[in-house]
Amino acid sequence: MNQINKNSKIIVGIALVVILAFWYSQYGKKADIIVSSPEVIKKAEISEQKQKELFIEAPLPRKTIFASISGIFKSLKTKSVPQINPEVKQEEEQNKEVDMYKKAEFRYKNLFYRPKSMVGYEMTRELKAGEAIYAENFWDAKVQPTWYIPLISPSGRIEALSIFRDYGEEMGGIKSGSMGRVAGKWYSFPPVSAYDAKTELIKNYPNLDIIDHSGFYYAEVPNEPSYLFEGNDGKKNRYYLISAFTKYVEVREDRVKPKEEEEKKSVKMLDKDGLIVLNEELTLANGFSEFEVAQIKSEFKLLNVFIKEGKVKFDKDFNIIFDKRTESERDQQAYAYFNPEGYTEDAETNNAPPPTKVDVNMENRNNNQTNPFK
Amino acid sequence: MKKIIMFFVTLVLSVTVASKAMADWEYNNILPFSHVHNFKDEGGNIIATALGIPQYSQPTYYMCGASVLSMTMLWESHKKGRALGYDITSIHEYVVGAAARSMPSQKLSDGITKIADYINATQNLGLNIKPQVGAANAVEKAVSNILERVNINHSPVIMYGNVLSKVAGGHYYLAVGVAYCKKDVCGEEIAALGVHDSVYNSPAWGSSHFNRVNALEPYILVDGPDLLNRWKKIGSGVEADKRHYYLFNSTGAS
Repeated sequence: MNQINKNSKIIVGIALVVILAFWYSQYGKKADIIVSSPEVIKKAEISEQKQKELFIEAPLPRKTIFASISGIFKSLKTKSVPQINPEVKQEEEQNKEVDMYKKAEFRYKNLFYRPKSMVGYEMTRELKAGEAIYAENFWDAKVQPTWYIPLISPSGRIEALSIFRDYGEEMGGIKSGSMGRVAGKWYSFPPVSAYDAKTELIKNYPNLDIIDHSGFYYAEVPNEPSYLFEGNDGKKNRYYLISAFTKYVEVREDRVKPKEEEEKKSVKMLDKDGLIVLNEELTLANGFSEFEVAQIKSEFKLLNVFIKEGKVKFDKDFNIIFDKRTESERDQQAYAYFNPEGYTEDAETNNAPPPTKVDVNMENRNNNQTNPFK
Repeated sequence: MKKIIMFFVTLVLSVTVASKAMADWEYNNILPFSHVHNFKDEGGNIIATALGIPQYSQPTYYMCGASVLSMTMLWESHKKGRALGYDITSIHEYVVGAAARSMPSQKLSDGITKIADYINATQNLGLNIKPQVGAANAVEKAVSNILERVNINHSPVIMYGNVLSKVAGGHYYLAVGVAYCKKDVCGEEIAALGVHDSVYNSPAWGSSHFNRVNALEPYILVDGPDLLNRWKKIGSGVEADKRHYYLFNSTGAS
């Protein structure tokens, strides 16, 4: 009996040592979520060790950045004047594309290229010259042509486009535009080629006299990239957008930009003393809510004080003639706008139940997750 | 004897499973959640920062405010050692009431304080959040301010933005990544934000709806005209006085 007790104690001892050793090995590895216990919850302040663990630092060597930028700008600056020789011109075009690639590489590789980067995209294959997509703006022919350079995810899918505009030599050459996300499934190149798009157009409109445009035309349609063709049906010219994804043909009468939501305009005027007077009725009629009118009234009340004190003055078109307001006064004005009197208390929320606490389920987390709290 | 051995075997297994669950705070091995990612130049200056905050989608068309609040509170409580999730709909009701179909900016600001007070009263986490409105005339200046601010207390910033090309001030984004680099360091001025857009994957709209198609994927960096079209100037009845507004945590280091 004593022997059994002795063995039990030894086994218990060994087990405890194993557990402690295991616990110690796990300590500090992933202590992000602390499993709730009263003792831990009471520990309100984050520990120094945990504070350190919160950070991941990635130094960016200045030389690399500098070298990249120097190379890009140098090649852009040293671009020669337009050449007559077509071979030189072709080489120039290739250089232009290489330059743009370098610039994209700089922006998204040198700055954010890390195995676990901020953007999260790795350039796993080399983009070759000529892979950039050239586009003209269908809605506005005056807008400079755009170059799209695809950014590729580790899986090889195009995830985003780096956009550059060519303003010509006089206007500073190629300038960075913005980065746009590719909507929907669109892999390295659109599944429908320009040739197939034209074939589809002829199939749908056999009598159409298609006016060819040189170059690789794209229309900047928000939802889907489309090829642009101009055609005459014997009566008038129309524009045909063929989806580079579905071959769907959309006919446009004109290069009329779709109507964007217009910004609402408050109706106001200056009185004889230069103070701002809001026409509440007309402002409401222009689509402003009562709350928005209260915001403007609240702001104008303070703004008129500044006008009386000679700190700011507007002309009849509400351009600023002079402005001596301090940053603090601008902030006061903003506060008055965002916190109109009479709207700071809301009785209906006084008795509202507190928010419902839910478990954070990190196991189901993925790129396509929606609200994990459901 | 067998019972004792079984007990300890079970205990060891439980600890293993619990440790595994804790290690799941990852984001498809792309960006580890729960961390602050700082990117520095050789001089040690931070030129980009990303906060590892999960993205949540808004359950209805009017709950972007509650969604950014939910994400903010999850991160702030995580910073204090215990990540707390709160249902987005219940946050909306708690802050503006069930009947409300929007969350005005001052309500959003008050809501942060209200929920932080509630968490401190019930969970004793010692959250230290003081919301303050910030503004700038130029996006570049606003982004520069945000980078500076984020690196004081590592709190996300709420942008008073809008759905792409739509009316100003109609949508809140949560800025969880920010990059600002001066021309003399990077060769060109870089001013970009990585935002969480609660419209992304939101069931409030169909997948082909304009808002959904143009919603931003988590951690996509936005800059230039795209950023301008999503962060129009607001905050005044006079056009010349409008600025790019955001709400930040004005407390010190945490």
